[in-house]
Amino acid sequence: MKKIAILFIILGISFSSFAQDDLLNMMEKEAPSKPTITYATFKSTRVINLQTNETMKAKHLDFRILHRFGAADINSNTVYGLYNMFGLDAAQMRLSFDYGITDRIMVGAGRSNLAMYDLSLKAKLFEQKSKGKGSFPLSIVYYGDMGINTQTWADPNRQNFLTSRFTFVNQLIFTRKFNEWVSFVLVPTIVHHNIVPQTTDKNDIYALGIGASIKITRSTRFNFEYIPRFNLRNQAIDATGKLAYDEFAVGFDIETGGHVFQVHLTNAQGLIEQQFISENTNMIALNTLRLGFNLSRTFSFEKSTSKK
Amino acid sequence: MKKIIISLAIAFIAIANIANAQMFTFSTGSVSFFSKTKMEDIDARNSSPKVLLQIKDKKIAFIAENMAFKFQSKLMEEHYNEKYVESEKFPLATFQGKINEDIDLSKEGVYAVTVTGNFSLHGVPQTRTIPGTITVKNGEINVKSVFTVACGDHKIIIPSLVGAKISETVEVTVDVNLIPKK
Repeated sequence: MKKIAILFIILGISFSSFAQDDLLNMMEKEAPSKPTITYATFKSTRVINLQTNETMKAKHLDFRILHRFGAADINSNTVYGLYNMFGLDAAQMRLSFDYGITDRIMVGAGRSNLAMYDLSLKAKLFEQKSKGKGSFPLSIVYYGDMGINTQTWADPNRQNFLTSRFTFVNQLIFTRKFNEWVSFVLVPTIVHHNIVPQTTDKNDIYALGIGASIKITRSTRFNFEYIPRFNLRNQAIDATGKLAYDEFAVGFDIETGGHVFQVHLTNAQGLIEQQFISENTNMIALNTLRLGFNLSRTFSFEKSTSKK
Repeated sequence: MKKIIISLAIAFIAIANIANAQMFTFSTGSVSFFSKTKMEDIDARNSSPKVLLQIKDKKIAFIAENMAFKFQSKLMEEHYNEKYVESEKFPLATFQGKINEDIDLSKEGVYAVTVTGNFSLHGVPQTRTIPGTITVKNGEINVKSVFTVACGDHKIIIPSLVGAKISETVEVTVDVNLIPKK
């Protein structure tokens, strides 16, 4: 009896595979989909100022124009800010090119006010992957930047070294896209200045960038970032006794095909980490927030996919 | 008794294998699509679709992973996945249908066919009758087809802002070579 039962079971199994007529199910069972790399964690290589996990893909170039207005100075004497166009007259600017060597390695070069050149490297170490075997919950990315200050020497009479022009940033960027709507980023950062104005100043500044992006519609996002520093708090950063403050920014991404347009309010006017993390002298207050724009245009140098 | 069971089991497995030999599966080729507007031509190619063709029942099925479509611009590729077909929610474009014509695909020849079945994209299925050409030669089968897909039919909304760059209807080209499934 038992044997007959086994026979029927075997028959059943044989028939079920024999009678399999849903071809789609058959294919799905044979080769289940592989884990996919999470895309569009952020819309751009920066949340606002803070770096994200995003890099340009291989053979893609990102041309960026960054603008930070000066103080808006809104009162009745300035016709509520119109006199200096909400700080446009005192704007700071950055132009940069970032190029994807591979899908995971990007190099960049830029020039910002004041007389600051910089070279950067961004490398994806681990990528967030969804679903099944081989999935990974986070993206981990390294970002390094070397700033070269080309201003004339503050004191031409002392012995000046070329290396005194250099500043460095090292960051590990941890991001997670929680779902279609919300992404989060944490960025432990070390900023190093080879030369500092006073002997009592610190060469290394430690900070933790915190940022988030929330999708509002298909092409717009709300972004937020805050970069608290662990040292250099309540300590003058130059001879005039100015204090440095943490960077803060809120803004929106607006995407239009090949462009990403970011508009925001921030208390920092600097445009690279060496400036907005360690040398930001504006406290976080309503009257110190400045308007800012990031414009990003992507160009592809990939050959056409169509075979002709 | 035991021997009978084993021999019966082997017999059934053998039958199942014969049935499998009636199946053809993807070896080379691609599924691609093309969108043409005055401002921009967009084309994307998926070189790893899954295909099954069942000779006896004249059934054919395709699975194309949305993430496997390669674009010239990776930004377009990201937008395609993120905004248009929403690959995280709807990872696959699928088609499953039956050949309407009375033909015998076990014989060599070139057959003009129409296939009626279910085309699903962006999680929205549509019943379609799609024309194509099937060529059986040297134990291999080539399937070719060109058809259009209207984005609106699959609830893929093209914002007016990029309406000048993305066509409302895209042309899909299928050209795949199939070999007997082992």
